[in-house]
Amino acid sequence: MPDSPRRRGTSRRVVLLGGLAVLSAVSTACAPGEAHVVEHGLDGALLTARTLLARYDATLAAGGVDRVELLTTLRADHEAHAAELALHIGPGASRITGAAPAEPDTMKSLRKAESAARKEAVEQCVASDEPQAARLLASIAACRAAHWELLG
Amino acid sequence: MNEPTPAPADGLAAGLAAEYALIYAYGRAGVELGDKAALDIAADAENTHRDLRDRLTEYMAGLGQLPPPPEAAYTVVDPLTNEGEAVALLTKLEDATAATWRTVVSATAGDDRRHAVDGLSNAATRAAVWRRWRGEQKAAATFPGA
Repeated sequence: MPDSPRRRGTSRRVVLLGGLAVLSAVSTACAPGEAHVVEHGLDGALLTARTLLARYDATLAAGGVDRVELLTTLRADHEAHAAELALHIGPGASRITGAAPAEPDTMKSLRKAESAARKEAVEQCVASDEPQAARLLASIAACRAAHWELLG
Repeated sequence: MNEPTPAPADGLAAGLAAEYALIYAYGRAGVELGDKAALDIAADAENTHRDLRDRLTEYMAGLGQLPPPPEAAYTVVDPLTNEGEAVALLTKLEDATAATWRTVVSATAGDDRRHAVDGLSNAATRAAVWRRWRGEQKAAATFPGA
């Protein structure tokens, strides 16, 4: 976000990248991997992340799809989401498992799944009472939105 | 009728300020773009940010809040003399805007937070599209804004 000299009472010219270092420091303070407060609403988010992971695994294992490199990178995102959510949830996370459908996905059905998963994460984020969990769910929703775009 | 009150600085106003700056940057960097695909990406991205800005200002006004105005001018401090530098700048600013929106998420609740997630998702998506244009295999950020 730009620094605003106007708020300091000086000129009205703003340095576009002047605020990046500050932003980075703020976001790093709540980055994945820190100690977190458990929020039980994260269970649903973990179930979806592991289900998406299983669907990408099944689709990649079945072969016959284009853009394998893309699917591999998107799969890795879901794996990272699941790991981070499990860290928040704690020992109970191991009981939450996702299952792929019987038939491998197509690019179209994966895109549809990403869209549904994004909407779900938005609702989970809005419902969250815990700021760290809300930020995590917001980032997961945003990542899924980017996946939807890249699969188009 | 009550007078509008200034919007809280750490809420949607912070995200709106980032959107203003990004819209300015698209106008400034756009002149360096020549590739047809890059021009199309920039046009689409700028439109999404303008739409988001308009929705935000309308929403905030509906709450009786006074949305902050854009700054009179912005200075780009990164190099900006060719297409590669322009795309690098826009990608960096999309990522920075995503980071701003992520901080707004924890300062808001309810529909305000929903708007913040929309802003984060849009910036993350535009950054991913730029990274794809640049040929980066890992285009999407795993935890946008973090």
